[in-house]
Amino acid sequence: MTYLLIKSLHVWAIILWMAGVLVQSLLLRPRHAPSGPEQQTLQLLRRWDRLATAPAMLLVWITGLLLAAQGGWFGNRWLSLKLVIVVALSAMHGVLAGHMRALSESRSPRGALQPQILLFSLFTMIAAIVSLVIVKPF
Amino acid sequence: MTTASSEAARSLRHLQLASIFEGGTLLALLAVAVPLKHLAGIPQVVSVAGPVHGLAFLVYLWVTMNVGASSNWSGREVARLLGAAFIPFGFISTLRFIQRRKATGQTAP
Repeated sequence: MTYLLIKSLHVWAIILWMAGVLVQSLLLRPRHAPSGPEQQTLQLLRRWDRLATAPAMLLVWITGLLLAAQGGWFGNRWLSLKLVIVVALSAMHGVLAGHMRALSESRSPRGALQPQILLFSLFTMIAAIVSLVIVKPF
Repeated sequence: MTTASSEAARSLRHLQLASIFEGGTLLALLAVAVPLKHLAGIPQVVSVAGPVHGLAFLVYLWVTMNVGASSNWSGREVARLLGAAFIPFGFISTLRFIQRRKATGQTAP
């Protein structure tokens, strides 16, 4: 029962986290600091990141570690590979949130983010994680 | 102090805390949990300290990427901060880096 509750919480938090990262990937186009309504959208997005997306990520990590410990999966190669991808996803979210902060403070972040590359990376990583968890191939 | 600079100072404070958390759990893992497992035959401490350090590393990684991207730090500086997380006492060099940034009053180079 506890395992299933933690698993439910894990899946719910993943949906919230990935939805937030997806929106950031779509909206943070390469540009200089926006103004007017765009700036308001950015502030709203940033607040959402602080209140929902980032806490959801933390919840994903905590519940994920608990599930792995309960299942006795630490050391399995599929989980090790999944953890590497989760690290990459977390790094990607960190960069997106950092860019968002720079833009919301009317500063131009270093380097432009390419939405196509971000979306391709995001969907590839999600597909890989889901496949690894469901199939547990090795 | 402007809102942007106070936000920058706050983000450096977050990085400082994440670095201490990461470095502390790494030391606890290597200096306490691993010897207890291999010398005293008590593996339970590693099974707790390992995931806690994993969580600490993820927090540190996220905060570093976040502050690095928002402050326009170079890839080399971010790589150096991340590399320090793999070395025992490496967090001391990270704390020095943060102190230097605080002293100059800016996060950007």
